[in-house]
Amino acid sequence: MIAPTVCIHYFTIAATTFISASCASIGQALISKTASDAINKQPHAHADITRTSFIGNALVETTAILGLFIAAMLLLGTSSMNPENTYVYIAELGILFALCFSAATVGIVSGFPAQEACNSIARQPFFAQKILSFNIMTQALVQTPIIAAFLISFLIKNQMNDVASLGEALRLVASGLCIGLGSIGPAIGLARFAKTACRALGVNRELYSTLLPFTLVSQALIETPIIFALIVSLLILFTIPPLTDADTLRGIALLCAAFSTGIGTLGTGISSGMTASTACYEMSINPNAHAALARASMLGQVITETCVLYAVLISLALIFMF
Amino acid sequence: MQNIELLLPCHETWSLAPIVGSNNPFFTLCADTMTNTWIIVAFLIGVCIVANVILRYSTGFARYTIVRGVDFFVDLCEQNLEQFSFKHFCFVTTLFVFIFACNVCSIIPWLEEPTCDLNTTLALSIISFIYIQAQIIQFKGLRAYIGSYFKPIFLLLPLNIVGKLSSIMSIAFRLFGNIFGGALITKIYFSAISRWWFVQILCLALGVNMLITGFFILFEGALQAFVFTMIVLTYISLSLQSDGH
Repeated sequence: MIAPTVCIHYFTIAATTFISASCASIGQALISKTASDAINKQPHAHADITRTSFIGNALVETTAILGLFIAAMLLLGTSSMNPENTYVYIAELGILFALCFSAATVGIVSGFPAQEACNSIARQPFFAQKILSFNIMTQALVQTPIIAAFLISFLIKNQMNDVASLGEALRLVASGLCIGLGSIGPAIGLARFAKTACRALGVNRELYSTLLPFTLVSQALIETPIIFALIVSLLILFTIPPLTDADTLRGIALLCAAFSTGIGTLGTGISSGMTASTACYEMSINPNAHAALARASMLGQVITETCVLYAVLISLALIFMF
Repeated sequence: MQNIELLLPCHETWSLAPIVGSNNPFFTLCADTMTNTWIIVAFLIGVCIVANVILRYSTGFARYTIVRGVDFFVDLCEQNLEQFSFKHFCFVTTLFVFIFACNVCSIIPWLEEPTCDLNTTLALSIISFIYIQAQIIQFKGLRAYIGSYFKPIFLLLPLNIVGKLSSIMSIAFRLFGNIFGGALITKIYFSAISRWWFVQILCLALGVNMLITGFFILFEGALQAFVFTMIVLTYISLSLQSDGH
């Protein structure tokens, strides 16, 4: 007779791998497809376009590698787990939630900037080196959510074997859910902005020196909701005293706190990315107004992000006051 | 639960209770944060003195670097404020230099980032907030400033106050969370590789240590210091615009 807990264990291992791998492969296929189109448009730039698509594919691959790493860690590192202790296996679902949401989003969207970079190189073949380095930088920043989710999965794995009650198990699930849900919106926003930034470089290459600081600041602002979700996750992981069987309700309150922050970041991340990407595109059309556009975009982003703070405050109240 | 000390920068505390006469936790200071901040302030004063000497007596690469650095901030202020103002320039540049030094000081052994402590970032953002509010009062007058809390109707007073206060928290949390997350990742990485000596040598030789330190401490530290400065500058420029004209 196979215990259902062991089924959950193997499902977690399989799901972390196949979700991260399949979504990363979608992102890579998008890059390769656009690279072929771009070579068709500008055959003489084929060497630069191929290189860009290679490097873009390698960066997207990070998602799949991290998923594989977590799966291997779960497969090899949990041989001493007791199949009778159901709570450990419920806690393991926290790792699944943390990794699958962020890997699914980041895997698909982190191909976007490389796609537009290929198109930009087809438009500006003599500016290929700058576009390539710009693309590497923006694409690496798009992957912040998956690194945060990886960190939280690692910490959940460390604490997993001490779980002895339903409340504790729910606490670890809440921690994973918070960073998993919290990385969807900002990842989409970051990728959307990076895509427009790469396109703007193709439209107007004179913009490079003014676009670079704006891109760095905007991406740091867009990824702030992830940082808030990371803080809430870490608080759930480390500041709650051990919960006994009588504290299951507190575990449910922590789950609600995770939902509050996780879903609260969704709209803010996307809209903050939209604001910055519109400003970026307008900059490429009207370079003289770049200072005013940057100021307006930054102010809009800062005010938008205050909304996440309200969700975070409610989460903090649920974590500490319940 | 062996990871809990990763999260607490405070290993030692100083209590002000004998002086103040109250046992409130508000009067307990974090010894590590305080000493680290003082070391950084002493270092920055030393840098300022050296830079002053260089600017006075030398005409070389060092002088060129300093002048270019200052020029960068002058340009930044001019672009954002539409006219150069020495007062704002001093405030903003001081903020950047101090936060940058705080963020990257952990590359020196035995030092920890003071910005890993929420108290430091909260103090910085409260200072900036008070400075910005003082600018608004100076520019528009106290009457218009208080009146702005009752706009568009007086029922929105609590919402306006919450909005103002949450801007303090969002700046503080942003800096704290980024630096704290970076420090946590580097600490976990170094504790993970320290178990086997050959992994340590391999990572050192392949440059993985340099990559992680460079990205999560140097790059992220400089970026977050710049973001903090830019947000404060944007708020200042907003406070200098008269509304409706």
